[in-house]
Amino acid sequence: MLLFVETVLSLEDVSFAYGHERVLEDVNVSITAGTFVALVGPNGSGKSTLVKIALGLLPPSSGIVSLFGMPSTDPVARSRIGYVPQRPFLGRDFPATVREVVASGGLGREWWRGTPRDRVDDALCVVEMADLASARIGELSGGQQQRVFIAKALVRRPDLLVLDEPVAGVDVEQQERFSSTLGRLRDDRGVAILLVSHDLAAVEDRLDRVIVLRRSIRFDGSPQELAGSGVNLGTHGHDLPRWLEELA
Amino acid sequence: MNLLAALPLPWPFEREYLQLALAGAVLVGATAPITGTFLVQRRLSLLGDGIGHLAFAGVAIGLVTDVWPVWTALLTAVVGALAIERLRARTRDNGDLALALAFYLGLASASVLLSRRGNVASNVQGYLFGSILTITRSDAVVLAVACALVVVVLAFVGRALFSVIVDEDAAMASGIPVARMNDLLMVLTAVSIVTAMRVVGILLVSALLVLPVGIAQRVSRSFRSTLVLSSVIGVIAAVTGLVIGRVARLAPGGTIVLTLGALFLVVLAVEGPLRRRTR
Repeated sequence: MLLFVETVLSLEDVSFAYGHERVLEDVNVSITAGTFVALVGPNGSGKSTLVKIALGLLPPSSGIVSLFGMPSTDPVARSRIGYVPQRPFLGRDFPATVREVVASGGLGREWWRGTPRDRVDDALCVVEMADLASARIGELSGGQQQRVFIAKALVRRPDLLVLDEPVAGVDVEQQERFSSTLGRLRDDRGVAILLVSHDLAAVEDRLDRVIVLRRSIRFDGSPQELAGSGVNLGTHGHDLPRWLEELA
Repeated sequence: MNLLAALPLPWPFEREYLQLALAGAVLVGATAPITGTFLVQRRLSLLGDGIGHLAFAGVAIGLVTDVWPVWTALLTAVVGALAIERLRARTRDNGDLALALAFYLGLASASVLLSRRGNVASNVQGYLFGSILTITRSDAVVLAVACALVVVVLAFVGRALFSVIVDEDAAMASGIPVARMNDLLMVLTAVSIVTAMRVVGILLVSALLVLPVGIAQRVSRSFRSTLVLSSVIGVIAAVTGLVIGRVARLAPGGTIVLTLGALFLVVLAVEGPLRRRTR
């Protein structure tokens, strides 16, 4: 029996330049439903640009980007994505509860409709933050805020979750919670995950694929294949960071 | 339309002009901080000042062309606010430059325009420092309509604006029309500024948008309660300032802002205990 596996994100021959500076060259990436993919690369390798292009926030200079078989700017396609941006952090004085922040993630093209309360509760349960629903967001730690922002992305019940450098500055315990949350999302809900990060130690065991980017794709395969080439994903041996720097 | 004048209110609001001033104070005190709540959380606290200076250029246009200055101030403030937003969006890391331009161009334009008109000092002073005691019945109606418009629109788009404030990129990625929301906030700010101009004057207008929010967000836990509390604080300060102004024969606009300043200092002093109580 043949099973149809939906392609959630596809980039074909995508290139991008800021003025004369080429940031991405002929990038080809395809991610299918229910896979956990890490995108790594040295600083300035074009990771965040690639994410913005994938989300339809930046138009590529050339190439084709599609989400769920539709153009990345299509509102229906966008409604199936959850996005956790780089370093989301709300200051101590920001007057909003965790519940309000999570609910704000439920708005989409029909932004005038509110987010159902049960969806907010469900998203908070997934990230184990239900008991802090009424807390003021600015009083949470960086790791807790990070989980709130994941809940904010999950409240729309996305089929693709994109996270841009979400573990920067987060302690080891929070990173492990974060990793198990992502694992559950993939295993229990079939969510495809694209994780952009320098540090893959916490999620190493759960990854299906690793994509290494430095302007173009330098590696695309399983963590085992990457390990076979002598590169350890964890930070303990510092193999991955060192290898990425050598790429630069 | 003589409803307000017919009210048998006690001292210090026993006279018609004081009842109209009270109406203006309540309307503006309640609505300006609602717009201000969104501005402060977007770190645009000084935007009101920038737009106020542009509105002053509009007042000058009105005085020179013999058009009611509130209309010309509104037009100039709306167009200027949208221009500031365009410039701010284009130079994301340099948004203060857009504000600086608004400050200088607004004042310079007003100065040049008013130099073409002779003796307008007394008129100009009313717009610079407020003239709440000269509010007429038709002014009160215009204020009520403008304030109602701001509240109704913000009630409709408030959730989306909040989403943009929390994370602009994520809001854009999810399909919220972020640029249109930002433009709308600018237009509503311009309307709020021009309505508040009659109460506290162009030079102090930003205080009425920002200070109640600064107070409210220190004791509120949620965005919704910040909106409500800042509005209540705005009304209390506006009415208190008006009463003190009458009793002590002081300028009401400045007294309203000083009342807000005093409230801010009090809350700052007792912030810790208050926060613990409201949790």
